[in-house]
Amino acid sequence: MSIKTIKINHIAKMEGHTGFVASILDGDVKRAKLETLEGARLIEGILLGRDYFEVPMITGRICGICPIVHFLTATQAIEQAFKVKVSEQTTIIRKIMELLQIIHSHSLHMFFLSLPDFFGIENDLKFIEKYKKETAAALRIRQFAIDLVEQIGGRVVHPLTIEVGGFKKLPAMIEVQRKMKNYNLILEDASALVEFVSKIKFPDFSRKTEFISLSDKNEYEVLAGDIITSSGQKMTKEEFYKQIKEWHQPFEAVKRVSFNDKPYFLGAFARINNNYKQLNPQAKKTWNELGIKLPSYNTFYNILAQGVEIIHCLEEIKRLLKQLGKIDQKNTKVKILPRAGEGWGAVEAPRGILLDYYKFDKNGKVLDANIITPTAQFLANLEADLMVYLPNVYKMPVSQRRQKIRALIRAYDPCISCATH
Amino acid sequence: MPKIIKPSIAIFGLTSCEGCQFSILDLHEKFLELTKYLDIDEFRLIEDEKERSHYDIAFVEGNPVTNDNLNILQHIRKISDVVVVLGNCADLGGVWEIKNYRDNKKLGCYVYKQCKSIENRQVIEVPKAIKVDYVIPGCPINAQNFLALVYSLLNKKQWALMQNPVCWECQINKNPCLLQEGKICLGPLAIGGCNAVCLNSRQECWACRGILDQADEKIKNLMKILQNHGWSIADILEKMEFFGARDRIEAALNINKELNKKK
Repeated sequence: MSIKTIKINHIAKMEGHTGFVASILDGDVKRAKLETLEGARLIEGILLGRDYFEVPMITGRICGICPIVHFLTATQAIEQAFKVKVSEQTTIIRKIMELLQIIHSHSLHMFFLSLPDFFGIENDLKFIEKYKKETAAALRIRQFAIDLVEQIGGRVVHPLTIEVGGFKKLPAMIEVQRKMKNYNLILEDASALVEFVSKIKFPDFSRKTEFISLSDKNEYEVLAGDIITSSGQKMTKEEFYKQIKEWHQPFEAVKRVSFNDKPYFLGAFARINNNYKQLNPQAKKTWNELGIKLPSYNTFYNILAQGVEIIHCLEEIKRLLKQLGKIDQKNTKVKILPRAGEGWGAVEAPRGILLDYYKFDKNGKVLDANIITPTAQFLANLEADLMVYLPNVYKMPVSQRRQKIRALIRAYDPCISCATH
Repeated sequence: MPKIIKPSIAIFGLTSCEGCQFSILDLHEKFLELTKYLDIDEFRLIEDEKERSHYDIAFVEGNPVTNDNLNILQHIRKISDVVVVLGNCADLGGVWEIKNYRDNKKLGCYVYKQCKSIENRQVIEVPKAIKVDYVIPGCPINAQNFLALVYSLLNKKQWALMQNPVCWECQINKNPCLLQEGKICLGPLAIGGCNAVCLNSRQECWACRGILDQADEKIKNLMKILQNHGWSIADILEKMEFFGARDRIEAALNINKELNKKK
């Protein structure tokens, strides 16, 4: 009998700190586990007793790469608890913010964090040196998105203008339009990047799983709507919250989540699997050209899905800005009257649904809080994938094996800071 | 041609949101230009970790929330000539310092079922754990401050933030005064250099960059103004837990922290 342990102490180029450990017994993978190294910040705990308007400001600080989605999810939950209906203007601008969040996170993750893995390059600076033209395109896309986030949100990391009921301050539309002048160039850049990524020889890998995403009959939903599974279940965010199971193992600062006692997948690839039909025209055309038949269960394609989503999000922003131009230009934020109640928020983060729950007393102070991040939700699925994937790579030399394992983990786009809050 | 020896720098992240590191990364071309003048030997957002025995300048983001974090921090100090603290978490404890004002254990068990097995330290500010040479404050940092510091050090010059309040920049930007509207705004006390970014978006200043030196009298005056607007000292102190300004205000007002600790 031989027991072999595979251990990677630190996996860099991800949001947060994590390691990996697996045990292999006579060639059978007995265990594959991500070990998070992030300290417990007790975010839900420190929310207790705080004022409702502090909630998004605190949850936003869970993560420096996806603060927008934390702001928006908390805001949505609070508005449900207070029975507030926001204006069309607010909804459109929030949607634009979330699409920008997806673009800037995807362009960073797909190109800089994940892609070098497939070229066998460990240092990004070397990767950048080698692929100058593609790097310039990726940076232009990211710059376009963060410039617009700054214009609308007031700041890129931890935006300032989003608040319960609407926006503290509206963006100067003339500045937004000025940034949009680059739209065609950026769209071309995005197409070029997808083409570049599509030339990679992706590992042949498949493990059937459940894809879960938001869904709406009219659009490729990122901000509201119901939740659907690839096996055909449809439910409200509240029902979803009640149906998932969150569990905690001793000595771990991260929790894991299952749906119907099974792991599930979230994020770009899940959204495209579930909502392909609603992709915008150019994004859909690009996906079709890739020739990947849906449903597809090769998790590595997640980075291709991210590339296609960048195109979709760009097209969607253009459409939404046009719509915004047709409505009232005055700030239509709603006045908030706190009341006792509970609410849920579900927004598509770049890496999948972020789910928040809050309960308030009549003064709008937090009585109960739970934040279920996408990474916590897909962690069990990632580990299940690794169990299946390891036998393919475990006989390789150590450094090559490490690279393969890291490539699969990073393809998920995990955010360990988010998972360990 | 003689080989130019570039200074070796490292950017470390302890427990945090990593937003300050992203603020640096978001400099894009300007960040890449830096690599002409120095070697970025440790930055886990761009490369898998290496181990070095010495750094000329080490930047530390985040807070030592675990024993591991604390050991790394002490190690960084030992092997680095200059240590620079990056952002509010490292500088003043970050948002999670709120847990120091609550029953930490109770909060731990509220969040985790198996709470006894979770490391749950009190939050300590990095300058209280190790000797620190420079602080780049803010939540997140202003990346321009980072560039200014790096270029100063490259030219072997000292660097310090101007002791100007946030109010100063806010007025230059012609923002409406939120303090006059009766909001808890620490603009008159907070260290500027952020271009009053929050106030530009009508978010009041809660001093994420810390409070000016020798400001005890100003603190007392501002508390009186806020009390006249109807806020109690308890209200103000609770809000000031957010970015770790509470202890400084308590010290100026001679309030004993233990007496005020909530259960």
